[in-house]
Amino acid sequence: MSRRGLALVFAVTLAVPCFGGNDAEFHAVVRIIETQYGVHHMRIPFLGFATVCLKVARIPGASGLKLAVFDNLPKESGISDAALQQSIEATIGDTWRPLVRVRSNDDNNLTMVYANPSDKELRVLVVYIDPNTATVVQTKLKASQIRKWIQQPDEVTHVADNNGD
Amino acid sequence: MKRIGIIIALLFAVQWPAAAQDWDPGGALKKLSAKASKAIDVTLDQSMLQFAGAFLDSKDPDQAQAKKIISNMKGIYVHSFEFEKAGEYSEDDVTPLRAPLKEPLWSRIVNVRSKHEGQNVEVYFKKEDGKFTGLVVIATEPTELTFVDIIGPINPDDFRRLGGQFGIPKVEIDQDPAGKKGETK
Repeated sequence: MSRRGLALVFAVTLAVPCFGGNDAEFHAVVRIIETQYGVHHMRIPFLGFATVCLKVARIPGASGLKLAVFDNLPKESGISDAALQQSIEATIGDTWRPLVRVRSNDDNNLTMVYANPSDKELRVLVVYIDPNTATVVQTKLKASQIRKWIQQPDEVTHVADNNGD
Repeated sequence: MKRIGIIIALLFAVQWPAAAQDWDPGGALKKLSAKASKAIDVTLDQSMLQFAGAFLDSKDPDQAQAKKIISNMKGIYVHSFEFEKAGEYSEDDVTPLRAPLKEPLWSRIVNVRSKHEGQNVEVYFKKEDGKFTGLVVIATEPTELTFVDIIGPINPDDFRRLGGQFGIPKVEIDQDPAGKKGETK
């Protein structure tokens, strides 16, 4: 392959959007945040590459990572945690089970984790909101990671910590 | 018409399983959540427990036991609250949590000790028709409070074995002088 062709492939790889195929619920949650807060998720340079790095280095046992980051949320959104939670749950349906909810009053942030179990893997959807930013992450956890959260279920929220910074 | 009658009869004959649901006695959890610097709610309903059970290692004695115990469980709900400093929640905040846990349906197990230093643990078992059908744990320390609600068949030994998993506090249930584990009162 020519150097120019190689550069093109590399550029396309880096430009790969964070969303993939089977992710209707992820898209739906992203749309809820966009609609309710009147913001758009950020176009992150090198997100395709970053996604690979996150997958390999930061979330052991995770794959199929999808990520949307929102910055500069409006200061006075007037959206309550309960209303947001209700909208999300009505949209994603009951195949996604609420697993963990962490509310920090000190930092004024909220993390909601939903799980969608199948035979061999667990799809996890994490929504993190603080006064300035929001992050939506969807990933698949493999057996090793699932055993870890069985012992400490709130550890799943660290998926958001890893990606929401 | 006869067919409709049969269908109606069958519908009445079916014993619909009672939905296992989390509860908030007297709205106490909501109030604690507002006072806490951090509130963590873990919800493991029946489908999640069955899924989790499939990933527990049958060769590991502890995990094999846990797998057996959760196979009939209907739900585990854990609510943990962290407070900035001691005194941010009071006994008045905890009393409503105990209010529904009354005899004869509920019995408090005595001789329970937390493996976490400084933590006070109360364990209440629910017994219906001579069978254990649920459990509530209230674990308190100056800056933390945990409320665990387990729905389904679980006895004191099972509970001790589940400690340290699913966000359930680790406890020891002492043997009384007669050799019985964990008296109830």
